[in-house]
Amino acid sequence: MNAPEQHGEFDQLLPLYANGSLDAATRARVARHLEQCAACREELAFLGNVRDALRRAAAKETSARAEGGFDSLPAELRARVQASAQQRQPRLWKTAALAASIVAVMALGIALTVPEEETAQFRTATVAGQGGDSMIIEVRFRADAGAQEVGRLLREHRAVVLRGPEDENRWTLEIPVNGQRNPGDVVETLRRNGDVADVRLLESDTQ
Amino acid sequence: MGDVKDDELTLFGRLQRGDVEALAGLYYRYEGRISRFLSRMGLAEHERAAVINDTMFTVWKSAQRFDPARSRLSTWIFGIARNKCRKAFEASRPVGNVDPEALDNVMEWHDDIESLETRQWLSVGLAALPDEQRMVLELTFLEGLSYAEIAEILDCPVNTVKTRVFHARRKLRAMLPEDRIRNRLNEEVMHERS
Repeated sequence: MNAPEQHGEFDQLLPLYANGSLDAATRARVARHLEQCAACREELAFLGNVRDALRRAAAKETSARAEGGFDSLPAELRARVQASAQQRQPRLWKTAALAASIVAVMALGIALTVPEEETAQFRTATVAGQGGDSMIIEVRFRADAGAQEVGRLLREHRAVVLRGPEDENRWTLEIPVNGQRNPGDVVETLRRNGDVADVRLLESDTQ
Repeated sequence: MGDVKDDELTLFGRLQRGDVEALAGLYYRYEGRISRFLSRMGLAEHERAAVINDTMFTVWKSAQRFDPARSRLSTWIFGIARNKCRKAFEASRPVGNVDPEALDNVMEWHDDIESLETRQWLSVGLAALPDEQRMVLELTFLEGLSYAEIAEILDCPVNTVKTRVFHARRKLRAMLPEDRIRNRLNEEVMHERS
């Protein structure tokens, strides 16, 4: 037999027993108590009536509305979601570009630490689905520039490797401009970089 | 119930991948539930549609932040709805909850309907409960949530939830005909004894 104070504890757990949210062990304890406590069994039945009454009231409150697709949603919500979805595209692109840069830097790190004949597979790193204003440049790094220096430049300019490394430590890079930077200025900035031997603008779609 | 949850999680997985049709699926599963919840929070009816839209937009926009290991999907969505509701209150004058004394008034008013069935008594009792008490009953029995989950949604201590459930049960109990008759007889005896 349970002590009265325990009965109070079980009484408090009855709603959770009824809604199935108790963990297995506690549920088993309550079930054992119910076997020997008529008051709790009666209270549990009462809570069942409360649950049924709540369900009936909820069914009355919720107007019967046919479920539809996205086009049936309130116009205000649809407009916000559509605007948000459009904004997502550049963000997805940035993520892809960043991931590609990281892959390129990792590949570069390996390429510069393994014998030349083993680096062929890393020589071409192209990125698909590019969008927005960007410029394509060929950068020839100094012979002593390693993975760390090239990676730093990639991060600094959010550049993506399209091809490389090639002879004379040359790399073809895609750099986003997005109307905020002049391609000529970017080239000049790169030329002033101590690790860069030469820069050549191959293509720019910012015009 | 498990199937419903699985179904919702499947929908939510599609939503996380940017499927707007999945958002519609979730919207129609939650619209009525959120509306009822907002009603219990005391939000005026004409303000609910905007808050529901706001809630579902945040669900869409912040889908990647939901961690199924941390909480149930319904707990997360109701928590967002609660925040949006509070912001709506801040933007306009909050509508107060039902007067806690309302139950007593309704009991007085319905003093002559003791012959009604238990379900009708319960219906009357539920309608008369303060919103904050009815809300915890709805989250318990309609959403199947634990007290801890309800406390998380309402941003209050678990003991507050327990207390509200306790008072709600007691008030509903007092509405039942047999309890009312028993109480009245006891009162008479107590009066004769004194």
